[in-house]
Amino acid sequence: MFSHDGALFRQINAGYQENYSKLMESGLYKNLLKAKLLIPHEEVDTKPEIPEKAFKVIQPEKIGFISYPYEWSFSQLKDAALATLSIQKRALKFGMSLKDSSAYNIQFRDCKPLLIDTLSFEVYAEGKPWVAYKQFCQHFLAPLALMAQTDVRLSQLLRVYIDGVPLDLASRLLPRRSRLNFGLLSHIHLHASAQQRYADKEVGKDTFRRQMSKNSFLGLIDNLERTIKKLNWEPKGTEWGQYYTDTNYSTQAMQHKQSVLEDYIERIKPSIMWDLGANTGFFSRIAAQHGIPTLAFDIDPSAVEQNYLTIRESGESNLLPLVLDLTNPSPDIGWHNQERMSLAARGPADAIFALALIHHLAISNNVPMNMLAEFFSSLGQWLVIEFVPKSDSQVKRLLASREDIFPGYTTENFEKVFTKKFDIHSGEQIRDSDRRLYLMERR
Amino acid sequence: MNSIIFHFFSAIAETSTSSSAATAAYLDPGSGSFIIQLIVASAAGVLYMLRGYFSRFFSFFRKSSSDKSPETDELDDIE
Repeated sequence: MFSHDGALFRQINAGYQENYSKLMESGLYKNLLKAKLLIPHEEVDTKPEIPEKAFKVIQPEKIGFISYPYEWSFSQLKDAALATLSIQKRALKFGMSLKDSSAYNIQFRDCKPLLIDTLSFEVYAEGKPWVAYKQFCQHFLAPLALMAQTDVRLSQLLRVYIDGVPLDLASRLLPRRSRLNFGLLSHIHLHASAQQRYADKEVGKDTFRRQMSKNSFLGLIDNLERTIKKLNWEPKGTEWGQYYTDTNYSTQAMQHKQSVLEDYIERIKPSIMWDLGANTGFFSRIAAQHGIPTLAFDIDPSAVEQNYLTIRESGESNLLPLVLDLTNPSPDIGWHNQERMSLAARGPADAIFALALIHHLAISNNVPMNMLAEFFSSLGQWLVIEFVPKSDSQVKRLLASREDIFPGYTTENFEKVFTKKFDIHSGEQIRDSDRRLYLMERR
Repeated sequence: MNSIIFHFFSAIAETSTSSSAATAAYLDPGSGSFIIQLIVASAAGVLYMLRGYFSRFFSFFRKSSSDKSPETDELDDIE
């Protein structure tokens, strides 16, 4: 992988020639493109990075925003897993096999999972087991099982374990009833036991020469697929339709807020929008429907799940929901802290929505106002921010259980502090509410 | 096949007692993954084959219907 004039290219080395040619000539590439499961690429004449090793240079289509498995909701990870298995089944039909099954090789385009690693395929040798089996179990099956059967927040283990959840850990965290499921018993519990059993034992070379028939291979993939399809998670609580209705707004206030947001978006016409604290994406959609690629971040996996399922059903475009804790955003992780990028490194956005958010950060999380201004100014050129004053019922609720140590939490002070980092273009009072909606531009 | 069955049951016996076993993260878990894959895939392969027979058996009686089995539906776009 190398970049040239801001574009990304991949060098295919001579050693991979046979595999690449098979991918392109067998019909697999065309099949995966038709199913929207693989990133399209073009062969280009760009000078390779290491010419003496090069066979070809390809330019993959650009992905708008790279997201990571620990930022996906349950169904996003599940769909990514099923996409990987579907790709593997197709590959086998065309005499190839996936040599990697990393969740990081899947990205969301138009909110649908697709493989971005064109060079993940190898020619299938009859009898050879699936080299990516362990990785699939760690990257997909274990976190999905934990999310479905133990706690949905365990997806965050992927942030700690960059090569997927260790199976012995998953085995210990899963409930006993998971052993009654053949798939989970085999691929996680027995798999973990086998890893421990053979970890310190010499295994003869003959073992590694043992063959796995193609029927067994297909059976393995089929069983993984069935196991994953059976894993489900639904946010607990009330009916989804009413789950996130913001009761703090009257109809008039809601309509006015929407029309002010539309006005701001038409004024600034941002190229990329990040909606921070997007909930189920009600206001993110205003930007997305204007054709602006929009990311809808929220800390609540239920809200992100609901948003994703809505998009999946409606086929809306320009919108990708992701799980993110703003008080502890995704850091740079992996080898040399350079394998997976922090949120900031994947920015900046052109515009930021921070709607009904500031009181959560300033009051619930004690973040001083000047730090908020600095944080938002680092993320985007434009800021659409809603100030929720102490007179608002939501803030009253936050302050009900704690001492009010926030004398600076006033509209006047908010404007004064934010003016140090931003020019305030507009500050509109939302009708039938104490809240105010600002349009600001970074200085 | 006998050794596969032995491994399968001995692994089940082990997993039910190993929940508090010390982890050995510094050791390569690759061998165990390789071996368990062969065992599980053998069992899954048999189920897969039987499912194939059953679906063909039942589809024989459904010939007049335009219904397809889920397996063929999903891979329909394979050319």
